[in-house]
Amino acid sequence: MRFYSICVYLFLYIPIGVIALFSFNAGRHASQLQGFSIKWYGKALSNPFVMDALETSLIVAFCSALFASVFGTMAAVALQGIRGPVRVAFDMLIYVAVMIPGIVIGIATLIGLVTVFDQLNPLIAAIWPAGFDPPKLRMGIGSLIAAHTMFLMALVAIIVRARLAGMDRAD
Amino acid sequence: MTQRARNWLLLAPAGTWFLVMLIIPLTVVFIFSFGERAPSGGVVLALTVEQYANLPARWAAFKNTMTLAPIGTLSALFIAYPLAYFLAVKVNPRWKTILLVLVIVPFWTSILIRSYAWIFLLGGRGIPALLEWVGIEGLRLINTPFAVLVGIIYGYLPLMVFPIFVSLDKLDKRLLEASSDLGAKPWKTFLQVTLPLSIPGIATGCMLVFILLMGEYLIPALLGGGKVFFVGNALVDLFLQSRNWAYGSAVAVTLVVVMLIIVTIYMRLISRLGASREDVSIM
Repeated sequence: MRFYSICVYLFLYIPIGVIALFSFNAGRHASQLQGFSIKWYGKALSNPFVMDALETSLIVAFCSALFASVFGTMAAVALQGIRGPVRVAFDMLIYVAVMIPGIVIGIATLIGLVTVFDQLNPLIAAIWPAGFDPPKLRMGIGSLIAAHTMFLMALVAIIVRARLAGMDRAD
Repeated sequence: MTQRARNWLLLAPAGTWFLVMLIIPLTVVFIFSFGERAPSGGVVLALTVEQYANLPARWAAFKNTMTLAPIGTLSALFIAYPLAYFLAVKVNPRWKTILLVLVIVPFWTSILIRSYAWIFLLGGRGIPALLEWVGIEGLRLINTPFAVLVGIIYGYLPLMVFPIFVSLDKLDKRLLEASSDLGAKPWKTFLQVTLPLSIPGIATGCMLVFILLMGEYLIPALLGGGKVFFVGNALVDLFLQSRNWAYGSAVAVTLVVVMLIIVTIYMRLISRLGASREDVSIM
């Protein structure tokens, strides 16, 4: 049993070890090791594309975690004291949000928002005071954060509700 | 403020979010799935089931998903269970926490990076080269269903280990002693005490992994080399490459409906299993 467990740990860590090993590879290709070098770390850190992507990842992760924790917890607390159709509807939405594959919800959000934005943008332009540039709704970091928040919010609600259900009520 | 008003206020942000980011997008996809393809790509609204009638054209993607998702889930279960058992029952409590953390750490690395590692390991200079060295030649691993299977087991193993560990860890170890004191052989203790009591963990783990596998697309894309397509890959292709939104919507709706049916049946079965076990324990 101990031997078996060691094998599973090797299975888990060998691929990560391979990646770490090749990150110090002096050569250009992943097919052969050509001596030790940390030059790729320098290249990665000085690559504007990589650094931009890192910044986007950090912003999206921070904002969606924040929104999801706050809104998910609020919803979980409220659902403790609610019965009836609203409760059923939220239970179903949370279940669907977690269950639907990320790729489906991602694509659905893309075409859903693009379709809605295409309808809304002329409306906004029409009611906007003349002489000012009307704002244009478009996909971007905002929609990225919003979509992640939706899924994470459902996860937070599930976890917080499980905790609340296990808590003794003091009143 | 009344209790009622307070609850409504608390629910408002989550409700709005679900409406804009979940209900509206899914409704749009549902409506589009009855539409027709526009000549320039995109969709013309209509009321036709033509897209659904065309589903067999993507049968291979559904077949791959529906075979590799259950096989992957079961393989992960069989690999994870002994490890979870070892961690919960056998290991010295001093090492328990660190060993558990070590299971979850790979999960913190992006699945993209970990799959790239497998491209190397399964590729010509990785495991096949090692096997050639011991005399087994001409084995192709990368871009096969086997490569995708290894990738998904690797990716989702931690998610299987954890729920099973939790249910085994909660198990009262005195039950195991009692069973052996009463003369049961170790394997009988396992089958009659340990295994039934860990069913909640098995059920949760399988459900988690299965749901994620049904929607998987990254691992087949990287390790299947365009030969082992999942429904997720078909969706990316239909929406982002061929821009056939109506057909893509029909595929998406079908995937979600199939998943809903499977998960609902699965939950029914599990709760029935739980109920019948209680009857046994009462006797």
